[in-house]
Amino acid sequence: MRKCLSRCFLIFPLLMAPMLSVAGDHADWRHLRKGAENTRSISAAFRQEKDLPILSAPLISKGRFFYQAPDAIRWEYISPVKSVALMKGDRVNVFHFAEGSWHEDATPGLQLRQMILGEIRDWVKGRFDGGGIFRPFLSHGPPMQVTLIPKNELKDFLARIDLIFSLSPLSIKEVHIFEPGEGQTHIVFTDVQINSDLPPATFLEP
Amino acid sequence: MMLIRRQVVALLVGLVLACGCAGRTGPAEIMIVREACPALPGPFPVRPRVCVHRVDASGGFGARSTLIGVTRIDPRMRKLHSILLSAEGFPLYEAEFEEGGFRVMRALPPFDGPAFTRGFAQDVGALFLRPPGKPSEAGITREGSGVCHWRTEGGCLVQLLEITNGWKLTRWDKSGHLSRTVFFKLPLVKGVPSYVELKIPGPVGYILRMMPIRVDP
Repeated sequence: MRKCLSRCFLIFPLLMAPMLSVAGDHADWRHLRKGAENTRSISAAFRQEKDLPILSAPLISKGRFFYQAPDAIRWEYISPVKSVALMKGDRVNVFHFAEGSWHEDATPGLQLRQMILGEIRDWVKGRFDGGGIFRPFLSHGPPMQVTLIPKNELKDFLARIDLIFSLSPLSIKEVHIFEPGEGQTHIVFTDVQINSDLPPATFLEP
Repeated sequence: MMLIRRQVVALLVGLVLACGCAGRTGPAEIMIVREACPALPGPFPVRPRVCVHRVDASGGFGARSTLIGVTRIDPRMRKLHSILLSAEGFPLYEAEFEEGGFRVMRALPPFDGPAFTRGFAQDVGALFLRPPGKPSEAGITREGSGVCHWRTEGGCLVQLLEITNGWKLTRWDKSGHLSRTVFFKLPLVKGVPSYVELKIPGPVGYILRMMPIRVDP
């Protein structure tokens, strides 16, 4: 149950989706998987809007995302709270910037993040069904869109995820996450670079 | 790795259990030297507000974490609606609190136990709501600071004291043991202190340092 609940926060896997470049106009699951196989590295900036019913305006976060095959991930928020999640293999470390220096996070969220980042790894490999907990639907559009519907008790926590693709290059440009209430999260990616050379320090502790 | 695991346990145990523990003995050495009501406005919002705070939590063994707290405050109805988000915006806990009750809308482990909600309710109450009713005592200290005391139905003593650049709220349990201290610092941002520090004493204690990210009317 705990694992299932944790999996409801599949924002991180979504962050990886923009990087799943595919070739041609006839994108399908096979093409997405094939594109993922060709992804060596990813670099992107993102803007996240968290909309809660009690807020008069969304909470805006900004950050950056990096991936290096086969399994290195850096997921970084620049504002409003500076934090960095690093994944290498199965090891996850999270750091927050507070009182002038970086501190490693030591809460159960660490475990949550480890599970989430594990999901990311599946997405990087082109597995869009979330290990069987989502029912994926592909719409060619335009714009091309993948909708993920939770199959099980995740429905209590997550209503739907929409991945909106841009066509040239074919990559996800927006992620919309809908909670059962009125809560929503929208992520827009910019400056997406596929297979560029990333400095090794990208995946080191801040 | 073992150290981190120990830190996790320490912070968790502190956050969940601290509500039931007490620290050193009080109450304080404050003396009301002349009867007067300083009419302390205090650090609490007097109008409805929605506050988004950065929350830095630290506990035993140096365990630390950072969260985002979203709280809707209705001072007149004495109602609070609080959402705890991870630094990335994941909802971890959401509940409504009012006099005599609460409603938990969602809670992921380890925030899903009743002990956490009891402690959380006391924390947000101390942070955002003026103690209920009229002060049992109010006056000026020997040093010239305004001070108010409240006696709760459960026998606790709550003291709100003007200090340099802010206020200090102290709560003692019915046995006279210190249970909570909150420092509110000026300036106010839309009626909300620009920095708040809550301390729970004892071996399972913790400290919350809070800075407003945004305050909505």
